[in-house]
Amino acid sequence: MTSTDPLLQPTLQRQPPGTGRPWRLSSQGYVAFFGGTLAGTAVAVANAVRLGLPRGRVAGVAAAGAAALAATAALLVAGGSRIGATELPVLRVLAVAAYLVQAHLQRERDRVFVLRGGEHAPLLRTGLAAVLVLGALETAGTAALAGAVSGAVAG
Amino acid sequence: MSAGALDLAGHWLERGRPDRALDELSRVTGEEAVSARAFRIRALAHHLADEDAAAVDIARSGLAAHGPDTGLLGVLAQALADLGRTPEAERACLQGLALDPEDVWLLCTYARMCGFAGQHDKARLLLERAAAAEPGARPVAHTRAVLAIARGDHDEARRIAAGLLAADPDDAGAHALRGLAASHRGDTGAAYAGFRAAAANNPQNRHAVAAARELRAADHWLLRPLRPFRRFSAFQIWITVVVVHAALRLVGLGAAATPAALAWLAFCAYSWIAPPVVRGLMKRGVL
Repeated sequence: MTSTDPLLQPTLQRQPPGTGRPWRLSSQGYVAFFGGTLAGTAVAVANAVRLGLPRGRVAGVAAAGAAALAATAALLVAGGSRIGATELPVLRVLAVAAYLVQAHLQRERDRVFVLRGGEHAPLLRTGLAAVLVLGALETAGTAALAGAVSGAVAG
Repeated sequence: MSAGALDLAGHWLERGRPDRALDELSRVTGEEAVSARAFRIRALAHHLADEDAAAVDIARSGLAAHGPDTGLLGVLAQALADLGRTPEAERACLQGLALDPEDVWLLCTYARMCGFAGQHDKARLLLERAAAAEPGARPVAHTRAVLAIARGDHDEARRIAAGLLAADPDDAGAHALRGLAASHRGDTGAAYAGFRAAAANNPQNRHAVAAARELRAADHWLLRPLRPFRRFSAFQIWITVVVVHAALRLVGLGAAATPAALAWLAFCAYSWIAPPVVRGLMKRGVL
């Protein structure tokens, strides 16, 4: 049953299967905006796995979040660990910038999911939990890191 | 008598009514009921009725009873692909194409699977082969439109769907494709028209019916404030929100930025709560 036709050679044997119903990409923006980079990235990575994205793309989604988190930490270190009126909007910009990259990486597979007649899962509960828990964790973690760094510099 | 019922079942399938096809099939008796054609129609009817697990079982039983058959392998591949079992679906497709490398339906099915996996060049070559095997075949144009949507080329999809509708205004699939291409561009009116026509032609297609219901609700005045969510991309909306938020703070209007963010949050909450409420009220005939 094998064919010598180059066009009829298998190329889909290593496609990772999706692991569940994904969330709407637009809903993930709220989590990033209100919860910050950590919350947005956690949801985006979980969603990329649910969509069955190739490993490289999932790593890309995580890397976009990691870069934004590193920038957040750097900003707080420079600002002396205090989140002031200047830093807060920039942190939002970073979280949303990471979200836009992450959404871009997921867009095509999300469209295919809809084309196959899939229905998105609601993100309300998970999203709210991510905003509250991971948002607080990110604020506390980056502030502690910035405090430690500025303490070390002062010491 | 039973051959007539089988013909009628095939006719209902062509009209996109798997429920009626299954009704007719239940009247088929004797050897005819276990013929390769009966297996094909039954498996396809279950696949079109969104019962892919049943379609897979029936197609496999048919293959076990009658040996390799391009029709049964085609349904098997489509049902497996819709269940997300892509590697198995590809094997079924290739097994069918080894029997007949020019089978238009199998070539289109395989092209869709490759396109959905991001292998757009291979998908294009497979479709070219299908078009060469049967110039002007409608499944080829349908698949071209589907793959254009998958690539994000909605203008191309709209153009192909318009061409299909010009040739056959009753083409439910083309109506749904027009609706899908329009909804991705944020054009609620055209999207509603597309899905409504698809749902009217095939009330069994629960996706088209649900999409038509959702879009009808989206046109209600209570949901008009949410139009920007459909019209603009997430990118445009979030850039605007963040720029406004940052600008307010940076020009020293920090006091206004917090209420503005809270107002945005309230608007977001409205966008989550209002649509299901409006849809529910419309379903009950209150709105």
